[in-house]
Amino acid sequence: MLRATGMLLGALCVLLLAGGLPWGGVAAVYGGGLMRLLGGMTGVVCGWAAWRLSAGHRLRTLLGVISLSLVVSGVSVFVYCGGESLRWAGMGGGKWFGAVGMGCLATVGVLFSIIFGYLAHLSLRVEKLWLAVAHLSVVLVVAGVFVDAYAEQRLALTRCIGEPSVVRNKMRDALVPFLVEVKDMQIERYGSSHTYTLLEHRNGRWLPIAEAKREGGTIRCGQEQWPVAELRALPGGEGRYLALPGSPMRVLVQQPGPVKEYRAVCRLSAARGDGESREVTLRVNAPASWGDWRIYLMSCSEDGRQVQLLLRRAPGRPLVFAGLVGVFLCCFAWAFGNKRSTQA
Amino acid sequence: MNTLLTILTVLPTLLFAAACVLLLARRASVGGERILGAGLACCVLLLAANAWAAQAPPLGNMRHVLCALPLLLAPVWAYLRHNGVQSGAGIAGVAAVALVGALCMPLQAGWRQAPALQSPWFVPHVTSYVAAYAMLTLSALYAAGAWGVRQLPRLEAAHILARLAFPFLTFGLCSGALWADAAWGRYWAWDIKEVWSLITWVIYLIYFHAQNSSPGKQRALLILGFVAVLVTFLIVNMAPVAADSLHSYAQ
Repeated sequence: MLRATGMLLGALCVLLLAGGLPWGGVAAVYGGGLMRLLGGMTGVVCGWAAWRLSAGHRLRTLLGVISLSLVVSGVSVFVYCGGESLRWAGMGGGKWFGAVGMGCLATVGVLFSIIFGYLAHLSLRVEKLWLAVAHLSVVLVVAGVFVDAYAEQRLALTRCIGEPSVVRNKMRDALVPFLVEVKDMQIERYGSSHTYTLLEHRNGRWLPIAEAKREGGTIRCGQEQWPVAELRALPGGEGRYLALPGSPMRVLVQQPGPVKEYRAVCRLSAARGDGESREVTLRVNAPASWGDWRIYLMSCSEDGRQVQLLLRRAPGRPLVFAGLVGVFLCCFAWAFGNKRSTQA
Repeated sequence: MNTLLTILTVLPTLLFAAACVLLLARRASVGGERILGAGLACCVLLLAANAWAAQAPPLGNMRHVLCALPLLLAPVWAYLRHNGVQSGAGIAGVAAVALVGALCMPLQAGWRQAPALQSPWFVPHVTSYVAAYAMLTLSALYAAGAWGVRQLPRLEAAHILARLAFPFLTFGLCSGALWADAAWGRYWAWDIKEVWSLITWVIYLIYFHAQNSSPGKQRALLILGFVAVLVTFLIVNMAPVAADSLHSYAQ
């Protein structure tokens, strides 16, 4: 069994290498049937390994899995209610009562996690059982990935401020159940004025090597200085540049300060009838939700007129996430919970 | 600022190099361990200076990461000492090489945290990967030196380190997927950095599944895993293909 697992993992490695070689890799292999076949085989072999590893302790394994899922639920309650509690406390006034209530719920979440964490520890005390749950978690990840491979819906949108939209998922001809209207967008930058960066051409790329400073009509970087008037407009962009003589090739670039954060205020409203309507502030890393759909802010145009949004419905996402959390927790428990049992 | 950053990088490099020489000459050298400690203290200052220059946690590019790597070796050193493994020379050597690497990288004093990096996952994701890579480097050193009468104890030390590193590698992979889901709207994008992280993880997975094989095969797998770490961390970032990578800000 171990030999077959080794061969399967080796085959997976070879296929990953075929696409991942920095020079000449063919990334198309990842979307191919062979990858799906190997993924499916990995799921089946992991399921079989979990069954074998839990032999004689299957009830304990089941109790352990249930306890672990309750631990994760407790942690989720703590994170969500704790965050809400802090947010409401920040609003002050009558919201304080709600903040205290949310704080109590967060505490309950922590206690819940501790109790069920202890139960999971008791149930899965045998080293092999952590490994069994780790293999089950891989099965969950594979299952989630397969569900998403066939059922995920994605729609990329570029919206202008004030432009209402009825969006239709062209991929599957299914209606998205809400409308998106971008009300406002903001680009927050580091620093209020322009930045001057000295770029050097190395290994086929332009790398920033130093920052220059403007002093009156000149730009200074170490011992070197250049008049601001010599900067030329950058073709197709907002910035200006000055090509510097010598080798290696260098260029001085004037740009607006680097972007710190994009924000877009959007109104989401039900596509049919007088349903729910609400305003959300989207940020990169902070998508909004509408039912089982998620709305992501991908980017904003430099001129501040357009935003790129992504609407996504991924039914396999909860399975993948549960599996990832399971794999990580079990790996830690396996590595730190037991001493080595086999010879080197 | 650039001069200060360079001085703060050169100083611990020299200290680590000196500690490595002393500890190689005499394994239980108190002086060597003190110099190693002083090097780690300098690295705290370097981390603070990097954080001040970047106005963010300094883990956003290769130079930042190489500067932070020695500090993540400190708990490993303490753990191994607690388990009776003398690893000071290896740790000092790896730290010195990492800082020499940092000195070869552009200072990028103007680096600022991009919007996609402004996430609670940023610090744990990068830190866990750097910690794992540091431990796997040491593990590969032990594995490479496992010959003759010292074969079994050194392979045992290499195994302890790989086993310690693997959960961090797993956390890096899983947290990366969770972060990518929030930032890019997909938990896996087959980006070249992601693919090589997965290849590294799979090689160590093969190693842990091959515990009943001969010491030679285990040694070969540990070294192969380290080669994959090098490709993931260095080659992928420096190859021209990195310009198209979703992880291009990590250069």
